[in-house]
Amino acid sequence: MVYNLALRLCGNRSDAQDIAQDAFLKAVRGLGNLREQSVAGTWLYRITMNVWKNRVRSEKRRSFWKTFSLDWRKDGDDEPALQLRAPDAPADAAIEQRDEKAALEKALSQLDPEDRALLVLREIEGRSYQEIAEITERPLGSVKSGISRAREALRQKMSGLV
Amino acid sequence: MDHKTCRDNLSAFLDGELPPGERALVEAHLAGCPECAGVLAGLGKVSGIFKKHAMEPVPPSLKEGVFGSRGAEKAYNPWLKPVLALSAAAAGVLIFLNVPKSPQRAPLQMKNGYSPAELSMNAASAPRAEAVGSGSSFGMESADKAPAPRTAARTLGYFGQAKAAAIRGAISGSSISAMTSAKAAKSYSAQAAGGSSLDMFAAKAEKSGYSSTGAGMKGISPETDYVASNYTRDGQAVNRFANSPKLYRDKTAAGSGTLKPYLDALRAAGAAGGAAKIDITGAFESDKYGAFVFYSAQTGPGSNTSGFMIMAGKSIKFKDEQTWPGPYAKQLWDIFEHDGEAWLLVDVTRNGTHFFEHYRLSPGNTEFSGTSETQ
Repeated sequence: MVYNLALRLCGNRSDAQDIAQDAFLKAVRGLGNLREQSVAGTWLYRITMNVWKNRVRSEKRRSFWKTFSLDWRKDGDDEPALQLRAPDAPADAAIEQRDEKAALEKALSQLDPEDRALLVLREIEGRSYQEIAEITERPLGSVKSGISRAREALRQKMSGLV
Repeated sequence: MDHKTCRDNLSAFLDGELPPGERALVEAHLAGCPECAGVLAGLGKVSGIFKKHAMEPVPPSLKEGVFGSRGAEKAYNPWLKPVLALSAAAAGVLIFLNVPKSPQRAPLQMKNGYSPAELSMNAASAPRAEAVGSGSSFGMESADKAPAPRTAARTLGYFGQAKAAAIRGAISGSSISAMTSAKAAKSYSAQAAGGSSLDMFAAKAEKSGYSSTGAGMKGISPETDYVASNYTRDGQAVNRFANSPKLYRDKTAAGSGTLKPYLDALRAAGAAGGAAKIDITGAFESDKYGAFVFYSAQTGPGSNTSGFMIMAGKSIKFKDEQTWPGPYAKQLWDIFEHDGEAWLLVDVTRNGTHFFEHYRLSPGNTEFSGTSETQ
């Protein structure tokens, strides 16, 4: 999940791997400061967010989070392993799935990176708004409005599908 | 509640993050505002699409670089080596912090047409979890058996808590591993198509006597058949559960009929691997979703493999198994339908802990999503 959070923040696999590794490295170094196991997950996500923010600051000239495409199929990697189709899968269903994913990626690429991160933490990780506020160090109201804004933007950009 | 305020709150409503008072106001507005109801449905669909497509498998190079012992020799980045050289204790904590509670899955396999020999080959050749190392074929040595998989699930005591949490986790695709017993006592809701809410506890209390119309989430279960549905009463949209006819045939005990060839093949594969030590922990048939066979086997000293297959005709449509050091067993808990897809809830007992995994199946069982765990 750290990797997926990093991926949605930075928008490309290569940087996401760097961020995830950096986050784990910092986590190991900071283990002594961790007192409660129950907050370990939140703590690791917060580290990931901070690693990404630091990279953005230090490489601001690149503006990579605005210019890099989220269409990772272009960078040569395989399709996700969990998306399988039987040989006899209906062609129209397969096309529909591809179109749906492509539309999502296109819409996501136009969102603010932090809004994408909010969606990952909520939709994929199932974190509560309070937990997301702690991870992202944003006020609760900001988390609520951010998730709402991101979802509404996706809904409008994907109006042909929803 | 006015129109704009309702719109601003729809996303939080969808997530169940509104206080009861505000939630009631939104529900009241929705009952009389088709436009807002439409937006809510759209947000629900967006949420579903995101869950379905946004998750990316972790690259093997990253996993090897961070966790793999072999990865220490070919770490993704050389500077990571000092991390891998940390003490075993620190490494253990790192794994606790990050890695999901399940072992790394073998690549999902889908085959058309299979024989016992193929089954045996697949079992022996499938990649295994990095966390448990080797020795996880069906050729096993120890005679110890994993505990019966049903035990933990059936002794949770209160159906509503476990079931509702599991379904909620499955639908939302979320991991609720941090759930405490205190939290479990709360009322959970599941988001159904269009963002409507299914209150599991109300459903338990009012589980019969309702006639329903309209589309909703239908659930079938070997133990607790129910249908969760939306309907309208006095002009208000209502979501309730009702009992349903049993749509699901448990063939575990019989081991015969249409499933017999598969069960025989599975047992034969176990015998060919060294001993007939594969436990068929469940065999089920559904007209719509095919046949499901769950199995567990001791695959090495202290190491257990458990998984399931979905079959259609004579083809294995889907096979997924994992290996874990210590007791490990899986059992089908439920299949239910939601938004045109089938959800498979799998009840997992591992090293004395109990949780659920879910699989989302597209119509025809031709595509499968990832899983999440619900404590």
